[in-house]
Amino acid sequence: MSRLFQAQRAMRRQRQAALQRGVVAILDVGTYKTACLVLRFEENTPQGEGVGHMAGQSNFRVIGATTTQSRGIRLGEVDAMPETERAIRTAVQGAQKMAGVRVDHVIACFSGGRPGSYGLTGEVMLEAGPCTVQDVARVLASVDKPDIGPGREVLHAQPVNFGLDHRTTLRDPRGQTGEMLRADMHLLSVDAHAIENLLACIHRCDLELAGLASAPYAAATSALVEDEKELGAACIDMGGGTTGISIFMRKHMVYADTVRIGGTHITSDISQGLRIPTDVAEMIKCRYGGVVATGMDDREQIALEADTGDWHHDRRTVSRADLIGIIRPRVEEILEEARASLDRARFGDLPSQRIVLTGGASQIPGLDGLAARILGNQVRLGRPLRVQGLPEAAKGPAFAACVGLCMQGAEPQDEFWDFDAVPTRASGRSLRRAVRWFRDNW
Amino acid sequence: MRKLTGRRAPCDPAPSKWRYRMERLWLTPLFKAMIRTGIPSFGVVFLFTWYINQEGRVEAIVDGWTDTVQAIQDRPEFRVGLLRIEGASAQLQSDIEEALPIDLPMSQFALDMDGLRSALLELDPVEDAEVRVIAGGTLLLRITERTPAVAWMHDGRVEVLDADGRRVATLPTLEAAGPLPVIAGDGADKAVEEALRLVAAAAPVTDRLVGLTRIGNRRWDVILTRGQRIALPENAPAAALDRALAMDTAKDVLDRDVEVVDLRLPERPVLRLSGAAREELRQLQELERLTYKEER
Repeated sequence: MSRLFQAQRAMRRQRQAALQRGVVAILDVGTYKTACLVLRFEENTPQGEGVGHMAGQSNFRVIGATTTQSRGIRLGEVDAMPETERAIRTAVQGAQKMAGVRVDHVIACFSGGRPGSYGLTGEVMLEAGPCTVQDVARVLASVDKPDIGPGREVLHAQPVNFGLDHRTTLRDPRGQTGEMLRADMHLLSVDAHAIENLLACIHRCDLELAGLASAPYAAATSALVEDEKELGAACIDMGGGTTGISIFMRKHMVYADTVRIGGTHITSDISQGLRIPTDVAEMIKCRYGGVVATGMDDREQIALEADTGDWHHDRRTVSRADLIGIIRPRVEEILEEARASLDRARFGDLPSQRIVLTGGASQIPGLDGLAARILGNQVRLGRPLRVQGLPEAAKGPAFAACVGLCMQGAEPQDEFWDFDAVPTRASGRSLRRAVRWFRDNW
Repeated sequence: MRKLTGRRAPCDPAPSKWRYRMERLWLTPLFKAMIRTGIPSFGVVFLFTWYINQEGRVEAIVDGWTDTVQAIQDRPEFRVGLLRIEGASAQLQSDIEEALPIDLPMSQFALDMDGLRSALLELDPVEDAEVRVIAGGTLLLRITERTPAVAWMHDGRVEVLDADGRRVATLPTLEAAGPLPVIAGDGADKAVEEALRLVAAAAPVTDRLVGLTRIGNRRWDVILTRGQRIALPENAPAAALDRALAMDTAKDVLDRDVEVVDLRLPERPVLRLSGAAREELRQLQELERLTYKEER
């Protein structure tokens, strides 16, 4: 897995260069919208009474934000590359203009590519004395890469658990004594071509990639609160083209998956069912959509204005109950798929059954009631963390992945790569030997 | 019905690739600073250098500037056409008009006021001068003339001095001096003040006072009519003169046939008699001696 480590470290160097420059862009290329935030890193931790622990969001400030309609993206993957490039250019240029600075480094997230989750284990015997950084590096290197299939690429590989002899769930084994060190690692693989297409689009916009994260992971880092991450929770990021599912346990992602149905499918259902254009369907969905029909909804008529020239066709109306009748099966299907995915991950065996719904499609009125019936009763609607400088329009649940990426930029969970960074070079060893000789003899 | 007009394809909101790149380039701080300040300032310096370096350009600029200044200075508002001299006698006025190095009309800016004033002050009769341009383009010279105090005869000339000993005028003859007290001798002009004090002290014998003579550039002799003189000491001459006058009042010393009243040594005043008087005195003394003999 050393090649993977090197790629991740190269990306981290880019990120550190961006942090040194103080400005980095966040790019969320989704199916429905492309959002770009420009962050300026500065120390502005608020002081005063009642200011609690900040999860890293006090280190930066959003100085530019632009959202534009995505083009050329289907199911979270690049469908038409020049169109995607234009959408990225629009978003980046708008954010740059608002920020007044030029950004060269971008942290992107990626929701498509059929992520596959693998739980891996490695174990190694400790040589002598307490566990050192080298031992951690050895045990991580002993984790053998599974057969993730042809054309797949590793997106995340994070150690989630360490064990020493009979003890397990150690957060950091360094300095502890034992015989055998075990490590559990979560590996997320995605389609290599899907990533490469997105990266090619970003590079063609003259931007350097300073980080790449999976969208379900990014959304969960901002939508889950601290104790939910610690005790275990699932985050369902209901996006435009895909619905991302990620499970957090003890502050680490242990499972991620996507359901390839999202809000645009609801729109296309409405468009097909009511024979109206897609943009009108989107408008009707956003304005009148819902999942629970009441008696009042039978009487509320929605005008379906069209411009076809057919008088009768252009002056149809539909009741809101009919609209809900179109929306609800699709939402149920999404939630059922998510339920199935969680079941595959044995989410039911976890001690905490908390489920957080976020993403743009989670804004359908009455979704929490419907989700509670399908996913269990510990469902809540999640909104992303509040971040300094974020415009009001970008504070909704649709921007959970964006805000999560900001947190990734400020406080990345990549301590895994530190373990391997300790070199086992002869020079360091001889120096250490010299130090030991001095300590023994004086 | 479908509208046939007013429908246009919505324009693409995405910037073109080159526009995007130009926008990013423009947001680069160094590039922005160069475009905004670097290139304009360099261009200004370059153009200025190129313009100045051409043949005869500097001269043309200087000439143009001089012409402009000249045109402004020659305007009628700044022209001085009249000369008015106040406080000077007719003689002095004509002297000033001859001596001043200006020919009116001329511009105010060409007038050298300080030079004019110093030229006026160089004239002997002028004690102080005020030079200014007043409204109406008139050059006003306000002169304060020196007041003649004494007439000084020396080297065969008669000069009128003021109280400070400065020359006011030269007179052809002594008669022209009028009632001015007369002094003579080398270095008398340095002691005019003392001479005036002596003249004041000699007020009781004004009708007999001829003048004062400076002896050896050191002390004064008071010359009276009939060739009488009073030799005054170097120190406190006025007091000595008073003493001589007191002697005159008491004993009519000056009315007698005395040639010189010598008060140079204060403790020993000496009277020098004229020859006739001395002879008379000798005869009297002889007579007295003879009578004494007869008595004996």
